[in-house]
This record gives sequence, structure tokens and C-alpha cells, in this order.
Amino acid sequence: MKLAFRVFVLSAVVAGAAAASVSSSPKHTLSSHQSATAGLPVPVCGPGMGCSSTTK
Amino acid sequence: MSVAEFALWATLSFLFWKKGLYKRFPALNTYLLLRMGSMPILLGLLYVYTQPWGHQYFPLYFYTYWAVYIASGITLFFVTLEIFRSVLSAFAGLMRLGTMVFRWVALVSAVASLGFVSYTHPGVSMIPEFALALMRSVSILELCLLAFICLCMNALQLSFKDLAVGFGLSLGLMSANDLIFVALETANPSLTAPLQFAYESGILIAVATWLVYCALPERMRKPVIMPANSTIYRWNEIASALGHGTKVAVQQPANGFFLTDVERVVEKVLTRNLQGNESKS
Repeated sequence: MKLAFRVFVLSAVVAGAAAASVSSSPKHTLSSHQSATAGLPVPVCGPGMGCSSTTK
Repeated sequence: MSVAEFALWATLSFLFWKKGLYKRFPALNTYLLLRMGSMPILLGLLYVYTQPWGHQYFPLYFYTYWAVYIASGITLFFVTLEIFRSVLSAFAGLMRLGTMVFRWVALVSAVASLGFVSYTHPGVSMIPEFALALMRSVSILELCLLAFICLCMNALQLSFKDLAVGFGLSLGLMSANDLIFVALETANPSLTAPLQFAYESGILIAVATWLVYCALPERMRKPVIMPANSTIYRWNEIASALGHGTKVAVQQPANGFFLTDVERVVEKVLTRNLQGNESKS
């Protein structure tokens, strides 16, 4: 059981680390669901910059 | 799915506070308070701003959104540190040394992530980039914590049913989910809808895992017993010895070579003269 747990966890870590190395620029990222703002529309442009928000 | 996610977070917060876990994990308590407290405010601001007369309130929504986002990132950093300390709580020396190393790793991770932010056009547009980079560095830190827990479980005699292990697992799964989704979406923009579904499912699984760990009765952690010649015990002893504040004089290399040499020559001459006078008398 402990071995299965460790294999699962290590797979998640390796997959996450590989994904992080693929997209290293913050432009290729999204609003994280770990944030308290999860689920709300993301205001990508600042006030007076001509665009409002996305829903991602 | 957002409703289901909010319901899971609300249940998790309720269980967390009901079981009195805020005493053991104060940073996590702050994070849950931030999640529960900011959502109604942001929803209210969103409602006002999306009204036909409410466009003037967009800056209020913008700044509040990103302030909460940055606060979440900072709080999550302290949650990660808290879990790390909780995992090492049986080894006081290693915990103190590990906390110091952890802070340095966090600093390096933050600098590396914030280095990608474009500073060519300083202004309001930098806020989202800065916030996303900060959250990304915290996500990588959470993955590192999960890897540490996984690799050191046996050495630290941790059970996978331990509360700190469960919290680390949930945070690590959420960050891995975030990073994998971004990578896949960047590679396959046409698959946004199914990927979005998989992403949301991943988040729900991670929060549900967290909820299960909170709901299960907490097992009393057994005292760690290990042979005196075990490596981790020795490392803990060394780390404990490093923490003692005994003051020791450290010899500094001399700065002025010429003056030091002159002083030595004068001292030698005086000593010889004294010895010569004593032998004559």
C-alpha cells in the first residue's frame, strides 16, 4: 500500500516537473485554482488598457 | 463544477475548524479564511462591474482580484513551510536546519520565476504577470515538498495516513494539475474543452483528498524510535549541535601585511635585546 502510494506520488511529481519545464514563461500560464480567486473571471488587462477579462 | 468546488472547500473549512486543526496549522487556517472570506466580496464586485452602469468599478475588481491572488500565493508559501515543519517535527535539529534551507530554496525559486516577468513596460499590466509568476514558484515549491515527503517517508517513519502527508499530497496534486494543464493547453489549443474538464476534475479530486484526510480520525503519532547509529539520528544530532549559540573567536586573515610584518620584526628585536641584556648582566 505504501509502495503504491509512493509510486503514485512520484508519478505526479515527475509529471508536474516535466510540465513546468515545458512552459516556463508566465505568459503560458493560467490563473491557478489554488488561489482564493478560483472560478472567477480573470481581469488580464489593467484599468484603461482596452480589454476586460477572460473566463479561464 | 465551480459550485461543487466551492462546496468542497466550504466543507473542508468547516471540518478543519470543527476539529481544531487551526491550532496545529495556523497558516492553513489563514488560507482557508482567505478563500472563504474573499469569495463573497469578489462575487459582489463582479456583479457590480458587469452591470451596464458598473464599468467604472472595473479597477476595483481588478485590484482586489490580484491582491487576493498575491495574498493566496504568499499564504500558500507559509502553508508549505508549515507542512514541511510538521513533517520534521520529530527531529528538532533537522527541522531548524531544514527550515533555513527551505527559505533559501524558496528565495531561489521566487527569483527564478520572477526573472521571467517582463519589466520593459512597468505599469499596471505587470501585476498579473507578477502574481502568476509568484504562484508558479509556490507551485514548484509544493511539488518539491511532495517529492521530499515521498522520498523521506521511510527515514522519517511517516505514515501515509499522517495529516501533514495528506495536506502535502493535496497541495502537490493541485500544483501538478495546474502545471500539466498549462503545458497540454499550450501544446494543443484545439483541445481546450476536454482539457478544461480534466483540469476541473483534477482539482476536485485534490480537494476531496484533502477533505478525506480532514474527515478521518487523526491517529496519534507514535514516538520515533531508531537505533543510535542510524544516519538520520546522527544528522539530527549534528543539526542540533549546530544550533547552539556558543561564541567562538574566528581568526581573520590579516589585512595590512606590511604593518603586521613590521610589528613582528619589532617584537623579535625587543625580545632579543631583552634576552641579550639579561645574559650580559
